[in-house]
Amino acid sequence: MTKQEFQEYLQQKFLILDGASGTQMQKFGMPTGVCPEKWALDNPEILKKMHREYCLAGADAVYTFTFGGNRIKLGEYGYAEQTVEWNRRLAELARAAVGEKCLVGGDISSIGQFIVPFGGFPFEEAVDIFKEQINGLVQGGVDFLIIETMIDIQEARAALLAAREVCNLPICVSMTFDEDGRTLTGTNPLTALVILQSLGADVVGCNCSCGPDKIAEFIAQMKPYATVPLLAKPNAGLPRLVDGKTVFDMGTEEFAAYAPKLAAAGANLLGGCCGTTPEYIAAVKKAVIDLQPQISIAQEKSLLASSQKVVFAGLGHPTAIVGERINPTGKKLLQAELREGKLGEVKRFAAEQAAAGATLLDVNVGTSGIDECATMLQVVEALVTRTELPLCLDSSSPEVLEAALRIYPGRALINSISAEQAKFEKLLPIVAKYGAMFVALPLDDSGIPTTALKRIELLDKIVTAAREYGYSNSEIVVDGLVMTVSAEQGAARETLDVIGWAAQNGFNSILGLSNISFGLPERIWINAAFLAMAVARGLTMAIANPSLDILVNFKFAADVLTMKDRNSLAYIERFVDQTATQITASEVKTLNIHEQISRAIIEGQLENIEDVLQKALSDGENAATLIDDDLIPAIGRVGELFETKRYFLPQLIQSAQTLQAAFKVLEPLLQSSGAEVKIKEKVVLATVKGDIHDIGKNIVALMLRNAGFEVCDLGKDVATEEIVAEVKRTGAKLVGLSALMTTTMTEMPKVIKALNEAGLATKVMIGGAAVDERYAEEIKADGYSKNAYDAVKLAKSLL
Amino acid sequence: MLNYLSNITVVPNENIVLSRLGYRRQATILSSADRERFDEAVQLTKQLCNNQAVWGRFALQEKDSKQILLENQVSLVSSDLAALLSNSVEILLMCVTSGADVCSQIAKDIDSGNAARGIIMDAVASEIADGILDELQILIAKQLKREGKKITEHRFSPGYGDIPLELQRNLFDLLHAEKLGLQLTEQFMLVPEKSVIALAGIERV
Repeated sequence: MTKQEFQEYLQQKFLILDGASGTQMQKFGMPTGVCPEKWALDNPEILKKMHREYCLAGADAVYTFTFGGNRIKLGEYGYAEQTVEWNRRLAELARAAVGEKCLVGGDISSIGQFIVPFGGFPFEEAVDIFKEQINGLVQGGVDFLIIETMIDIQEARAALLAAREVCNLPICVSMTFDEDGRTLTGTNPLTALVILQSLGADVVGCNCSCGPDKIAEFIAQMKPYATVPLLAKPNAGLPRLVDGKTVFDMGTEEFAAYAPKLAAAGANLLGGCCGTTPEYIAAVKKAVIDLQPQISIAQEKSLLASSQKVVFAGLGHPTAIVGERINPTGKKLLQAELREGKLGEVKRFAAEQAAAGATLLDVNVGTSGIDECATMLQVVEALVTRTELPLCLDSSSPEVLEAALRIYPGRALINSISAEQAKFEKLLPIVAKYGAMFVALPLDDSGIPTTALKRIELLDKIVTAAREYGYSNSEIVVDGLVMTVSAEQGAARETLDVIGWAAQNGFNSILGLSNISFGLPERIWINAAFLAMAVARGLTMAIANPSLDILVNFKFAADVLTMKDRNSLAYIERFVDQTATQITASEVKTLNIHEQISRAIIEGQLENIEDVLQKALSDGENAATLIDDDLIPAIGRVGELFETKRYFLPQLIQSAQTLQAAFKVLEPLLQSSGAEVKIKEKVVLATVKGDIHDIGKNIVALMLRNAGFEVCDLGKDVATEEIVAEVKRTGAKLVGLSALMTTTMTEMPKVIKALNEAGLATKVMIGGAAVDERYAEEIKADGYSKNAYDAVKLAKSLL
Repeated sequence: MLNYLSNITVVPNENIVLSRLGYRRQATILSSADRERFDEAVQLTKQLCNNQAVWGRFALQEKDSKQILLENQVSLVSSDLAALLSNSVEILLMCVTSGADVCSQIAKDIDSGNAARGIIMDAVASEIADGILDELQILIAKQLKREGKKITEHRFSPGYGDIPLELQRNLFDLLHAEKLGLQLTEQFMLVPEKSVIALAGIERV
């Protein structure tokens, strides 16, 4: 059956699919635990009976009995090498059972492994595994392919691509969503629809996991944006366990009563999954016999998607900010990291831009000294689960773009396709194959035309070619091409005219803003004004740094004034919080300098403390007095706050570090002023041998130093001899030992024993997750403290 | 067969993180600056965590009230474990990690005058490592549901109850945890630190 014939069929009537096959086969004698495909081949008459019953019940299509017919699943029974042959034979048996009365759908499902980037299984390997199975099914003469019960969008994509690369048969893809409306890897129905239909599925739908009520909801969520017919194959309600067997709670009539609801929600193919039998299918057929299926006419096609969500990027929606930061141009650290294969900066830019309100993230990794393709893949894989924002893949290389499109489990925006002959001919088919939206760049081999009219001519050329691949105007993003006004002041008007033309013709449009102001002072104002003007002309996307508040604020304002931000909701949300914080800043100025110092310590204002102290010193304050009258009382107050639980640990430590910074400023002055410097008590600290956890011990060190101790910190995994030697060297009167594990705390008594044997009269305090007061007594340590704050008190009491 | 999962998104439970750090709902007061510092640390931790997991299902060869014998002749001597697995038909072994980047940043923060952020990140990363296990179990449970099976209500790790810590070695090897970039010290500690090995039973529903 051709794709065309399949679509024509589905426009005229419902296609009734079969019901559960595995449970039917078990009813006919298939034992549990066997390889189902093998058993079916060994019992062909039973298999044919199963198919025939569905056909007689009124199904218009049956699925081949090849749910686990891939190399991995068959391999679990030792039959990997039979994959092609068995799929062919099982398809032939289905055909023999139903003849020409029913269509035969070649059934494909999960290989049971998570695919990169969600799991570790290589994407191309999965594609090859699916291709192998599909080859067998095609040889067996199936009419269409059905990829079903998919719990991971990336695996569904792999199977879909495999199908498209093997044959021209119609391809249905059916996902499994949980009750909460997400697949296992977090994709919701609308997102799955956008990704799969743009990637070339002829039908999208859902099966299994839920009953028909939920499935109807999922179908209803998809329908307004579907360009393809939708499939619904629900379970017979929810599973229950009766006498150790799974049964489904919905009877035939109740199940069939949902069929008109599924039809009303927009399903075009109807069938049953777990718990359904030929009776259910007969009832479904009867229930929709007088109904007409709804044709899928998407209201909007300008939809981009990550694996987690869909972004509406078209005309009439708030202007999308395409975050421009993930681009190594002019960023030395990012360049260096990309060369080393590190992704710290990439992740930081992604999170920052998302927090600042970006709608999409542009990803450009072009820099010298890297393999652009490998780096692009690495970055895209890392971003897939780190951001919900869809990606805008930005490269001048068709190879890099194709590699990224192939593995990106979303619907990306491609930046960009120009009218340069060689690139355009190569790139357009690639971008179309993966169904991405793209930026059309009005320049060709002779350069950038200066007038809007000429640019529109070039755009026409790109658009005409794109239509051949099925693109509608709303799936194309026209780049207005921003030129510098300081060189040619009329340039802005030409760009705006291109934007206006795009909006009038139903295209999206985009601008890389900052070029407009090149060479002028205070560029932000030109950029912001230009953005507002472009929004007024119908701009839908701006490439910008979303952290530039002025620019982004203009966007929010412009969206209100052009009615893109309905009821000004986004604008209000952006600004409603900002008033509160400004008040506290003005309050501070009314405090005197001592209050400011005290407050800086109590609130842990690490970034302010030095300035405040310098101001006090320049006002003639004395360092020793500042310490005694301001710092010490302030840190005492912090201790009280911590003890009464008004402060939690991070606040205590923040204040402790602020105090440390304060000492750094003041202590040198004490020494130079000749004031009496107190001799500090020494403490040796160590995490015992074999133990590699030292965060707690490091915090104790920090607190002890603040309290005026001289700390000799030996680090972690420290041998007993080393501790003894350090005590001898320093003459410390106190040793602090830390251990986190029950296996390493046993080092503590060894240290105590060694110190005693060496005749050192030092005291020992212990701490760490594994030990307690009782253990301290048992090993004859001098004390135990449960946290860093208590450790200071304990140390003072012991000396 | 071992299964690998990478890039697992975990939203750390903020209340648990706060309470790990000594926050008490009725008493502790956070200023907006404290709150901002906390949020920034949480954000940074999430960015730096490179969450990965490996898990496998193993047949229970033999079991009595004191020990469990796995395939590959690995014997787990623990009556707590035997009790946990009393109704189980298989054992589920899991190993998860948040990766090395977050651990080195925490160490760096604490050494370089940013200890407040360091300890928040430490608490968040611990919570994330636990959260990976939770996410993983949810995912595996969904797959098991189709087989009419479920995971035991509790999971254990070596070192809990009477389960010897030494078992880390056996489980580490069974799971080939080195493929996640992990190492086990002589004292059976996982490196990087924010990593966990856990086990649970698989029962019929």
